[in-house]
Amino acid sequence: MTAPLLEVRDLRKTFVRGHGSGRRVVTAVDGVSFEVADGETLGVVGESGCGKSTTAGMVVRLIEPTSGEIRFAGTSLVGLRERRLRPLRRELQMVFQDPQSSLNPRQTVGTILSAPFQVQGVQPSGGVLAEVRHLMERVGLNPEHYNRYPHQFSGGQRQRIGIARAIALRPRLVVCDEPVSALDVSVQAQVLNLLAGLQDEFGMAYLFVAHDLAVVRHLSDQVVVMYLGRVVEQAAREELYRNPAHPYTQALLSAVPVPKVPEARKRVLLTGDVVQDRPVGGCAFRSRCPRFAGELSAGDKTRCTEETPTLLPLSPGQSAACHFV
Amino acid sequence: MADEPLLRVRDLSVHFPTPDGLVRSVDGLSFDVRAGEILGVVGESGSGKSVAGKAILGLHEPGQSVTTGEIRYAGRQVVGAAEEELRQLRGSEIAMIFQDPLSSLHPYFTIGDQLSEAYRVHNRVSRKAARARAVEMLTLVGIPAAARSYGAYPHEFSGGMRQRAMIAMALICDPGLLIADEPTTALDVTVQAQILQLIWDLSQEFGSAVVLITHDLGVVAETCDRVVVMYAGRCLEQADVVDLFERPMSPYTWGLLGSIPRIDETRGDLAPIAGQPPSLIDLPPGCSFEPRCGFAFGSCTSERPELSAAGSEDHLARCHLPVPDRQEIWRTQIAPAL
Amino acid sequence: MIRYAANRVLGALGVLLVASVVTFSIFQLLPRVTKVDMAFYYTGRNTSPAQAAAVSERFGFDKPVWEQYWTWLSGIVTGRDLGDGVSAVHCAAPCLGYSFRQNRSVTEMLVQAFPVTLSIVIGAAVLWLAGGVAAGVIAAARRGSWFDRGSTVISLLGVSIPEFFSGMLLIYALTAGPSWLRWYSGGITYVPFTQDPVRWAVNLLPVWFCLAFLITAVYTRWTRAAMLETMSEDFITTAKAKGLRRRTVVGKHGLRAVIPTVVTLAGLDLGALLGGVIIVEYLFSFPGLGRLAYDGISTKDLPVIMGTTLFAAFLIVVANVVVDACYAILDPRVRHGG
Repeated sequence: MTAPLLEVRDLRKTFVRGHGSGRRVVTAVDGVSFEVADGETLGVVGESGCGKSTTAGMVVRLIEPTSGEIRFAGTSLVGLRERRLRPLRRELQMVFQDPQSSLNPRQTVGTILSAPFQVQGVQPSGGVLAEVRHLMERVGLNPEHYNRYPHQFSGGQRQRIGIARAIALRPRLVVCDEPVSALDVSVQAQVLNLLAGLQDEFGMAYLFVAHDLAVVRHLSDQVVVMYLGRVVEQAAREELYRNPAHPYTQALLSAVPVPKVPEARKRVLLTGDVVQDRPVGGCAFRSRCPRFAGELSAGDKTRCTEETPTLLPLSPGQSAACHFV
Repeated sequence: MADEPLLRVRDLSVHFPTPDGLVRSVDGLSFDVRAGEILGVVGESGSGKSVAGKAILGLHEPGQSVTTGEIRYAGRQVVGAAEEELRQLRGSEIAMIFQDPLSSLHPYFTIGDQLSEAYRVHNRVSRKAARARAVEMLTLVGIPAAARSYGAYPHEFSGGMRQRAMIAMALICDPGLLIADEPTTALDVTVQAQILQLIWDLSQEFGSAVVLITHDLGVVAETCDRVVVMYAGRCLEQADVVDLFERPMSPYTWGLLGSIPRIDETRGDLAPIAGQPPSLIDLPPGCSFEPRCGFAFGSCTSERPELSAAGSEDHLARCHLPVPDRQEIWRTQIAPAL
Repeated sequence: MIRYAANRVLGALGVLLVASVVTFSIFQLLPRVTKVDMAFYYTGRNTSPAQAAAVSERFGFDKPVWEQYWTWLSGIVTGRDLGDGVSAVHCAAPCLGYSFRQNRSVTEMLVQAFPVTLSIVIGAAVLWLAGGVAAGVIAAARRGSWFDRGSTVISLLGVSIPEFFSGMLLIYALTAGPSWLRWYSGGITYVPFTQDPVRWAVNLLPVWFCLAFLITAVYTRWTRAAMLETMSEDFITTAKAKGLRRRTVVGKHGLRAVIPTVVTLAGLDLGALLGGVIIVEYLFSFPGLGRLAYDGISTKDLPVIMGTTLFAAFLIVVANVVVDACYAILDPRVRHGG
């Protein structure tokens, strides 16, 4: 087997919040590992506070990891200096959630889109301007609008600009952090189709971070489910959505409302939420786990309270972090 | 329909004069809410769904907007009513909850004080009685240790708990109608499920009707009895929830259904609606959806279609295409691709 | 909470120490820049060089700077003896220096002047807070009304007319103007509160108005802007949707939200003004801290200038600590955040 394009091992990030007596350490990401293969999409999904965006930020080195390993195309990114990192930026790009704040309001689209070529010293055949116009056309923007400013575009169009900037140098991996969550459904569908089409055409891999489970299902080959900084389940798409193993994944999937005529659906309604229920030690999900609250014996519960479950393979291509799956 | 519905909205328009021109946020909207039912109002941003929701409570400042048409709640006209009359309606007959419970609760008053205040403004009771009622409501919406939570400030609650508190406050005077404006959009999906369940349970228990404003067709499908689909300030389709999802009769509804990735099945390419919503200042003269519609023909550009029966008496849509043609298109082209 | 308060007080002491170093350094530099021996600042121009040398030695101006600073600083805590022999004077703690021009300790002068400034500032603060906040709230609540427009014009006048101009007009009108306005034909002088509370207030009234006029204008404009912003907040919509009276919405929910910031602004302004309102005190010839500083400067009485400067810095630091404490009391989010 060839080495994966991106390999993340035991990634950890702690933040220090507050100062003085209110000072406390918050673990945002707690030992996360996954791989992304060339040309493939890995979806990372979870609710707020699960650490998915922090993970994405660490992969593109916007956030410095506390510990762990990130290998991209054979090079270790952790601790790499900016000068050594720059050539890798060609291959590793990011699309942000809010296109409004990630585009410089005082630059024209043309300037924004030619920046990657200038920064990397790439001279496309036919010149930068022609390439920029080609890019705009490819992402569904009118190339005649290259002299306009970001605020003259709608939200969906701005996200297209962000995508065009990310793919300008034909990277091998694009990290997308909630790229469609600020968009309306009809526009969201346009952008999702664009992302899928670009992947077909250029063969890049996506690390696709989102809270919307349906969107993740639509785009991903592999899916990682996170809860309070940890991976609770990882599987190939069909496996995960058809046979979720972890009780959290099960509850999450059953909570998503489906736009079709309602038939009796067995919904696993979780109690509480992640802000209220953050147990210390053991399994972080136990405070909301329906199995912990119900069927498990007292001895089994002790295991949940004391022992933090690790991600163990259940079958080829599916693993879950639960003592009782 | 023999008896008068709880809420009757006819030809409602809410226009905002701006330096750039008149923004027609809601333009000729009509629908009914029957007692005890949950009506979903679904649309994308700028469709006018929230503006319409606020208009039902008369919450638009008269100086900054022009509201015309008819909103009749239990026989009483809301549009143009005196401020004092509206005030007595708000909270006691029609209550409202909003998208962001954190910014919708006053940051400097305790949860309990805000609830008691809502009760005392419409009921002549002692502070103690109001407090007891507030604690009772907090317990009812599932807030643990309600007596202690009474003295908590909004920032001490989680997002889901805040929305529960908002619901408790809205229902404290036992209103006949609850308007829920995107009540779960700011919440995580597992918490959304809890809140929707709570709204559904309470509407059953209190017998309150609910107008659930949302952008999420999934939420509509699982919670509502009937649906109004809005686009650019107008209603393009309204139907029983089963009819809407099994036999949608508006090309816009088809477009929405084609745009949504599904959790329960893996879809191929999505079939999005091309282009973008029109400017509310400069609406197309004909059908507002015509510029984005794949089935538009001659009269669509020039003539504004009326809301008319499509398939059954209760199923209305605003479209020039003949009903049999639409049924045919849905059956042969749209439904198979979903 | 206690640790937080202790931290704040320690920090404030640190700031004061830095302020004392800066003040001291500036006045050490002064003789070097003006090429006039420090001794002359203490004794006057007519001193002979030999006398000056003797004074220098006696007061230690020939010692290293840090040693002089230490003597000066420890004098604040323990008091010090200045000079020796017959001319020796004891300056009791807290000794902020001794004015040989006036043969009094600076502390004594400050203690005498402070009540005057305090009387002026507190009275004016009551006026500008009551007037400015009320006018701002009403202007915001009736945006675009005659009141709003009128208060905007008056505010603009208030901000643009300097207080020495309005003050002079006021003094002229009240003491030498037309007979029906000549209420203070006997002149406006400061009468201590302890001596005659009524005349204290009567004589201070024009001073209060003079000082408050400009500041009221600032507070009106600022409160109006803050209220307008608050009135567009979601929690105000909630308050309206509960059916609260407009008076309650504006006067309770709206006003409560701007109070912490008003208090912050007022606290900092008070701190700055208590150090001396030079122009107003000079105009009305009230012997407050501003007048003291002004006289110190015009007679080049160095110990007085240093003393008033450090005392003003002390008041500003105290005001900052008090404002922080008030904010923690008024904003529960700060209180719980720690």
